[in-house]
Amino acid sequence: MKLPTALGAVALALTLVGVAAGSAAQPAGADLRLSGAGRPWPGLRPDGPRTFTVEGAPVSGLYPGAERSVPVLVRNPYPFDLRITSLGAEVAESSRRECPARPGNLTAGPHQGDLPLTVRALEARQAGSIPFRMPISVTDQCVGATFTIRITGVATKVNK
Amino acid sequence: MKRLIATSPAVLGGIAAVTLVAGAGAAIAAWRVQSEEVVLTAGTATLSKGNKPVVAADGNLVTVSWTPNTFGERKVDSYRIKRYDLSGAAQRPHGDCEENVAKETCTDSKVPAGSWRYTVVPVKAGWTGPESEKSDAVLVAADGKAVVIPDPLVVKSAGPAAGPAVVRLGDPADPTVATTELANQPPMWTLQPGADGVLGKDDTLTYAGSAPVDPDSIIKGWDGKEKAVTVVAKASRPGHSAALTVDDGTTRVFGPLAVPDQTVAADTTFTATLAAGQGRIVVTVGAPQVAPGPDEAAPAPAQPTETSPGQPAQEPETTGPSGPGDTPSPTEPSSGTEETVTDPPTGGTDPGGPTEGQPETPLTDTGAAGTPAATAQVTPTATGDPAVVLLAAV
Repeated sequence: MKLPTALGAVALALTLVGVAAGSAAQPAGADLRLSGAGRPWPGLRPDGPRTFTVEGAPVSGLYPGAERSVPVLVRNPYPFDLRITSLGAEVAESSRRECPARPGNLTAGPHQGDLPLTVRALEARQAGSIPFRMPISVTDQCVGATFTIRITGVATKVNK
Repeated sequence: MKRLIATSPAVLGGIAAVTLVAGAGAAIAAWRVQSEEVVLTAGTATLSKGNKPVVAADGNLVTVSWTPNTFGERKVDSYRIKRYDLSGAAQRPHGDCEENVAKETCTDSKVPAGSWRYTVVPVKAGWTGPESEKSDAVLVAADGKAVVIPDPLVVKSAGPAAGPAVVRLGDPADPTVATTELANQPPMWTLQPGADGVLGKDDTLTYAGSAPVDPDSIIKGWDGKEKAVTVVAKASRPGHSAALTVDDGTTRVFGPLAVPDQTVAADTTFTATLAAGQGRIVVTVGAPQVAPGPDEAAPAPAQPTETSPGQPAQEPETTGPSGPGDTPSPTEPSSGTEETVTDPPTGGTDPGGPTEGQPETPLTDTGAAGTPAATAQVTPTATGDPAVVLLAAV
């Protein structure tokens, strides 16, 4: 075996080892849990937490020009730390067809607070807030309407 | 192939590099996780109903005021004022009531003759709250004088002729009424309170105009024959002028009718008869009944009010608010006087109006002479304010 060939073989072997190692480190299916309905984190009990949760309080009393800030709490159910990399919200639905969930009636602003944010294993932590604003031009059809807001977050595992 | 791999270290290296990068990327992506969706609700505020406005009139100026609306901890931005005629048609007021009002009062100017009610609609940016109840009626006479007619305290379904109106003192049988200025005049009310100047037994209220009044237009299906009714005089508030209502038991036939000051004792109930004759509708009042009220047990005529200081209590003929110009619009006759009213119904300048100050001339053409005896409750107010007559069917 010539030297170049030997080097090539070594490189190939290292590559295969690297791939194998990467596969082993990857929590199978974790990257598919975008909807929160994935499988438990590898190594956790099958009936364990599916993913971390974000909590917030309902908003009330919105009126034209009103601004509300919804504090967000992130709860980490895992036995390892999580690094929250993003938090966001969207106005998803409205209780009134005449007052649809669109920016002209209610808007959700970008997350306010420091990110990324580490949440210790099995702990919860305040994670800033999400602002909402009802434009001054909102129509009279929105009086008494109720909007549905969805808040989601993205996190990564903190490797120690 | 073997040879290619064995002899091409560059190819092997490239494969290795690509695999390493891809593997590392996959590993990184694998650690990214999205949270469960949290679904919250965001509810909007609801503006509260506007507060019923209080009205005061001074000629063609009507001041409308109300208590502020709030939602949550804030006040609304402004208020939209609406003016309604008796038929319920909305109009846009004038003056500083025309545009949205940021205060809790405004003055409607150049109010035309007629009977008007006002409402308040709270406004917040593009939002509006529920409209308030209608105010008491403001009756602006043709001569520009205005009267506020308080709503009856007891609400009944209204007949076709019910509604606020002003009653003047006078004798509708007077030739001038029938032949001159009242020509082409719609029906209006006159009160014939008798020699004492105070509405009492056998006194009459007449509803007449230049054209005969069809009894069916008063009570659906009524042929004009004598009909028992109840006349109630009630002051909306202590110290305020009273108004009359005429009920036939379940329906308000007439009223509220604003009567001249001191011609009717407040809180008085009369049994009465309603009859049609010679194209007129006549209410013949029976004896008043003393209500088992607090201190005022005896029927008593209204005493003079502070607003008419120079007029003795027992001289209603001189105090009659039904001045010549006091003619309300025909269809909106009644009006009661409130303390806020600067121009009581008396002394109207209505050119064709019946003569006033002749209470000794009762109606004779009504055929109501044989009407059944009426019972009435008289409970003069402590303040001696004029009463409102409410007529109710027996």
